[in-house]
Amino acid sequence: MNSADQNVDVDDGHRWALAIAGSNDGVWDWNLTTGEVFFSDRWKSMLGYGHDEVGHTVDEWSSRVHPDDLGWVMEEVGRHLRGDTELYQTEHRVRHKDGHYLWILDRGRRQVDEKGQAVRMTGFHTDVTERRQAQESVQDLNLELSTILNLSPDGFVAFDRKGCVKYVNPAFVHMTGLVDLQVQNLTEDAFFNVLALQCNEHSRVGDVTYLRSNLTGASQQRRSLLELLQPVGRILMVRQQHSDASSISKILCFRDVTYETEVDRLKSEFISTAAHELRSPLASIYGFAEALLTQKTNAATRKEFLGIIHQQSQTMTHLLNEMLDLARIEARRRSDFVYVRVPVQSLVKSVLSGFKESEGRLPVVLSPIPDDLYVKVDYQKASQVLVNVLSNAYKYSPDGGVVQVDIESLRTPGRKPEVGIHITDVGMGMTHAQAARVFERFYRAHPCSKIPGTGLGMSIVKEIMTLLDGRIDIQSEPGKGTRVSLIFPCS
Amino acid sequence: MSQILIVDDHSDIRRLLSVTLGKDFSIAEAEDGMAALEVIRRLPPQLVLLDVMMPGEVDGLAVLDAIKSDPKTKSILVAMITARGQAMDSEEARRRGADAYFVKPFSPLQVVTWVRDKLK
Repeated sequence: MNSADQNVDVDDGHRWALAIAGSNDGVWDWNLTTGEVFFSDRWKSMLGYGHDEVGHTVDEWSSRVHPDDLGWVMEEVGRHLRGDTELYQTEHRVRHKDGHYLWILDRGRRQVDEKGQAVRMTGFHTDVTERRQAQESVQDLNLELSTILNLSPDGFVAFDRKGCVKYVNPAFVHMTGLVDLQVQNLTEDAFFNVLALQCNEHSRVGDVTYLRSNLTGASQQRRSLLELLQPVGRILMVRQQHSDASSISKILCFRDVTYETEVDRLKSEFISTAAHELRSPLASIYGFAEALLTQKTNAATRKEFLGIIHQQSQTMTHLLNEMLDLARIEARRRSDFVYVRVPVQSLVKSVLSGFKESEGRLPVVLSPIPDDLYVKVDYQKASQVLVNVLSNAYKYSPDGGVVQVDIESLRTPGRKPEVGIHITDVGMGMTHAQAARVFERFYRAHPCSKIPGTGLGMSIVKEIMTLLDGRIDIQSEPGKGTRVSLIFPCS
Repeated sequence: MSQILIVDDHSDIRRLLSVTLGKDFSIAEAEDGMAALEVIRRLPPQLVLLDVMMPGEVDGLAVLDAIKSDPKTKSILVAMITARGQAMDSEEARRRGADAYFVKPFSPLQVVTWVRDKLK
């Protein structure tokens, strides 16, 4: 028995009543001899009850304690009653009359008789729901943040106030191949030295030295590129953010921009090739126009020169149109495609009726078409594909010969039913290596100035067929001819 | 009369140059690198107007190298005519020994002026 136990004088009438009335806490007073419990009005109102709605047994409290809390709370009560603790104190949930739970800070102390037996226990309920909720929302926020950091495709490295690595997220580990243990607690210099081992030190894009001078130098750029070699080649965009937080001084963010960088490179390559292709017809237009202006020419020569200028202007127009076509298809992808289910028969026949074969050439020979074949395509785009392939068939068989179109229902094991439209010529043909390159931008297997062409027609065919979920097959032999098969999924 | 070889896969460009230069010089034409080397071997010209990008195994730069590396043909003047307009390309050609570099579209008058000046 300790002295504090005896000195508690809760029975001292007047002070006791004042304390109860003035406090926002609810008071309880448990007579262990009779089992009777006194609950103050505030104790009851805290839980939503009136003066007469709560009885005088300990059940009034224990039956309202959250089932998950009851066990351990009762153990604490027992420990205190046995004298194991100086004070009884728990935070547990108690059910309100409405059914929701309040977080209650419960504090109490026992009184003992001269034999040291607990005879009475008295205490207070304090409503700490708001504080608990605030704590929980901070915990939730922490959980949310760590989930975001864990799932983020961007890599993050946080430095603490001493300038050492405090945290790296999984995306950073994945991108760089550096694991937590390798970089944890490293100083900034040491961190960058480790990072440098993963980088291309001869990079034209950016190495660690370049990155650091950009981030810390006088220019203080907010972002800089870094080229990794390990674990695989990647281009990263690195950004730096200083922080006023008490635990973090700055954060580095690493974004994988390998794909974007490659797209940019291809775009600029396309533009420079396109400019090059436009210079050729322009050279004829400019040169012959100058010749007409500065040289003495007879009528026949003038006519010849004007004819060349006219024809080269057409070539340029054609080139520009095809470049724009290609750019439009690439930019809009499927968004301006209007898919309709059409019989293959009507698609092919309408294309052929609008198609003008080269002068002096026989019209396309069309073999009988099964009439129950349907495809789901953008009508105009599918027609463009057919026209491009048909005009190639005529252009690259300058010595004549029949251009034939066959339609075939294809059943390949492991594939859905397909329709093949085969366009066959008996022209110049291509080697295997040439055929493999026909979808390259501006590539021409026969870059002969007598046959007009931009080298973009088959690129367009390829782009459209991909967007129509179709494929292309090319069989070709030099001097024998070419068969292009446009294969569409059946609908 | 000085002999000039015009090498370009575009027949229009060959026609333009031969019309422009034909009054003052004797003209030979070739439509690719192989044909050009053949002409140079048989009947070496004083000057070659040479397209850089041509189909086939031998492009313009290869022809340039062949001319400038052979003591018998080294003195032949070579002007590159090309659709590649970047500074890097012209430096590359000059480093390999080209005497002039014209970018398409070019002025035929400028080419004539340069040729006349060189073959005076």
